[in-house]
Amino acid sequence: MLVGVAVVIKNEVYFYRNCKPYHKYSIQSTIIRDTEECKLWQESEDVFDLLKRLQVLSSTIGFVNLSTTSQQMLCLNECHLIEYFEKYRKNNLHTITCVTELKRNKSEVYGVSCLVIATTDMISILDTESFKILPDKYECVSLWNVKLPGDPMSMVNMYVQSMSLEMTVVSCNVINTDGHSKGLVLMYCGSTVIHKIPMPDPVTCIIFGRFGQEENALIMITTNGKVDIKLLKRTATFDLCVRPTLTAHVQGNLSIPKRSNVFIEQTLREREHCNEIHVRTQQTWQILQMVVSNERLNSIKQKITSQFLHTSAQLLGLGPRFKIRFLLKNLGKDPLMGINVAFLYNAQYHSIESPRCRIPIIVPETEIYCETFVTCCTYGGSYERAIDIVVSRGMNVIYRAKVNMPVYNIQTNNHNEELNDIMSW
Amino acid sequence: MDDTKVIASLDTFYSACMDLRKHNYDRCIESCTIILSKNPYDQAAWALKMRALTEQLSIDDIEAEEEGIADSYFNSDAIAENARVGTSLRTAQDTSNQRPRTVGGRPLSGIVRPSTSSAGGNNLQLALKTPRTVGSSRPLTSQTARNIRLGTASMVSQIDGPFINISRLNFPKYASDKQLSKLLFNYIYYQQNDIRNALDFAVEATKFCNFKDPWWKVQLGKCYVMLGLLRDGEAQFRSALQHGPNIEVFLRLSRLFIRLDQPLSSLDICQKAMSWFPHEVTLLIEIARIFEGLNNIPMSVKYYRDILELDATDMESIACIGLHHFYSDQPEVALRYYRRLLQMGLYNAELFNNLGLCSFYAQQFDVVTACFENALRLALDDNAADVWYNISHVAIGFGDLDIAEHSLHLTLSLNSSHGAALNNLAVLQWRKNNVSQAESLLNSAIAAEDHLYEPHYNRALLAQEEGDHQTSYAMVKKSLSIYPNHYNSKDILNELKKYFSSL
Repeated sequence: MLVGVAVVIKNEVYFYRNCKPYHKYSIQSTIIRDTEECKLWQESEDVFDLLKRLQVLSSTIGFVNLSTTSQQMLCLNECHLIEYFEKYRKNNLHTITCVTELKRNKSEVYGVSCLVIATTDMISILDTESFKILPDKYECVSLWNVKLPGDPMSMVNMYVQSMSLEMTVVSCNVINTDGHSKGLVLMYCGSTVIHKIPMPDPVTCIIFGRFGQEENALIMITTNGKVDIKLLKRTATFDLCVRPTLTAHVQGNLSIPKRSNVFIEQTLREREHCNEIHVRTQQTWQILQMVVSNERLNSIKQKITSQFLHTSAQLLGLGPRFKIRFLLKNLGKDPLMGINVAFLYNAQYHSIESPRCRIPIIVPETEIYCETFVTCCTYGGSYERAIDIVVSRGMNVIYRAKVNMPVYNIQTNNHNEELNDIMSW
Repeated sequence: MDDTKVIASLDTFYSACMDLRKHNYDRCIESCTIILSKNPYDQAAWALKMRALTEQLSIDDIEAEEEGIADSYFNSDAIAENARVGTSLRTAQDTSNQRPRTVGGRPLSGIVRPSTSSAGGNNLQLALKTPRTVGSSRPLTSQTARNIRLGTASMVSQIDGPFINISRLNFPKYASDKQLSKLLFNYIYYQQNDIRNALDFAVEATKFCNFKDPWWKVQLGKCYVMLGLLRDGEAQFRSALQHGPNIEVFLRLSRLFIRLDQPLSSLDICQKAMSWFPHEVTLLIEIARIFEGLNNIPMSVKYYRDILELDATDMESIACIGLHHFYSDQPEVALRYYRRLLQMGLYNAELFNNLGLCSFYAQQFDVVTACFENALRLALDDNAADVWYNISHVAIGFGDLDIAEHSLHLTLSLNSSHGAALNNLAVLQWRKNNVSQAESLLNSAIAAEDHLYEPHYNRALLAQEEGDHQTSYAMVKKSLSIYPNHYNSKDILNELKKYFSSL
């Protein structure tokens, strides 16, 4: 087995073995049938001259048989023609844009590789032993299409073994709003972008693999000749949730529902009867204001709500023995002194260990609580089982609250019997 | 001839039979008691009385499943603590952050049904600590839940002792009697709610019919499920299905997988059942509910729509689709669905509350207050809090902040741990420059319901304004952990990061 290096320059592939030139392969001779077209490009001095000649050629040999460059030229808008012509006249029509190797037998890791050559027009596979183009029997199926944010420069496959994650790294040349080109390295998992690395310059070349001690390193070369080495953190996590690829145009698509028929009817009604609607709204709202104010007044009279005290009750435990934790918070500015909390209950249903509790002081903004244990005795309706909590200062009741007790298992009949059964299980 | 005379001249047993048919259980039982007092060995009367007693209390127990705290936290069937996303009801990914949550932290559903109100969390501490009232608390075990719903006869004392003393019953003798055994089983299971004896009886009976009767297999499965032996229950149901497809068994099996927290298996079962019974509404409802539980709202709504094509009067579907429209910014469409419910004769506080909210957001202001007045009139203690809370929203919308504050205070008087109300009250106080009060109210809101991101965010904002960056950072982190894409929280976090890095 021989190891070789293939280097591509324009439309030629140079093969080196042991650092010595071994073979030169030019794609021109075999692939390019239409030398006529090349001639046209080289000979014509003017854009419009070329355009005319190309049109003639396309009518004789067919549009499809022209090179992509010529095809694009023919389709181009007039204002871009000259720019395009200047850009491509010096280039050879059929340059190799990228090459990669392909194992002849996928299962053999160290087997012979073929060379996949992509020109601006076509992909061909070169046998590295006989240096002949293989007959094109291959078929490709497009799995998905991704819209890239800019022109792709290079791509590489990235397999992170520790995460068993396979990604495709694509470097793109992104034109900024101010006209400068910048680099952007995108990592795709399937068709979703899972990570982005913005680079100051476009990246022309990427390779992924082991770098010294480091397992997962991404080495990039940028257009102005810098080498950039990125190491993957051991603790790195990628955002793997599936979402539409929003790379190029991040336009926040607000989900505004369709305007329904009902909506249109309603707006019509609003327009036609705006006066009535307004008057009616104001009237009914005033009535509701009164209802609310009355209710609030009543609740203050009954001490159910208080401006200065906020309370909440928690019930802890699984029953039949619960712990009631009653939390008090002083919302006012002055401390509250000499507060008593009493738990009122129906002795038929509960028994409470210490039904009253003294709180000497409640400092503003701090929460304090008092706790007591309650044991449920019998089953009853929810109103009968509720426990009232009364907060008072001296003789004045300042707050009342009610705790509804949850339902729990009381096996009033055969309670002991069941216990025995559990023991014997 | 006089009708009463004819009735009086009827045979007592025959009239008892007629009474049972007319669901006139008390009179049926009375007649049977008379017959039995004359002849205690009259098996027909005995069976009839048993049936009447059972039917008096029997309910559709497929639906009446509520998982108690003990069932969900002390079960040995828990397979994976951290289930993969999308495979568990407990870790269902929250895609709909707009929908408010229930006290237990589940996104709201269009209809309250067993287990939608219960907590989805994995935390026992939380489950025990959530403010437990009759309205919000979960029962301890599923058995308890049943007891509350049914108020089984075992709790109602009978004057002349129990009708049948189960502990003295000769099980093999009655189990072998094909006529009586099924009635007796139902009596033990539904009327006495004595699951262990029912199981023993079913074991005897199925042995007697050589394990060939699918009915007994289903009953065995039911007993196992009630006792928490879910895997045994599954085996029984599967074996029953081998005798032929049966909707009830499919549903029970699906419920069982939900209790095992395997919604995907449950869906699988339902799909299999659908291949047998393609237009069965109960199966479609089951599927729609599971999708809702998995927070896959679009799929859920799709199934609810399918249901409405088959049965246009299904209230659950109408309510759920209405809710979906409401939270996807189409209140006018939601209003239509709720109006349909009103036309169908539903008349309760929740419906009027929803109608009021829909018309408020659809800008039909003239009917808003009328709806809320109706809702207040119909509201009971446990839902009045929410009605007041919504009135406060409308008041804020109308710019009437005093009324809003009063309404929020009223909300809190009914439910002192209403997190959203505490949060809104805090914001109102903050506007009035009562910063310290706002702060303590926000702290209470966080303590009351820590699955809401709003109080966390507000607390962070408040702390940042006061210059307490550390608290602000901690709070904004929590807010983002609840709602990762909350834009304003991210904003604060960025500012804080800038600030910290400049130190």
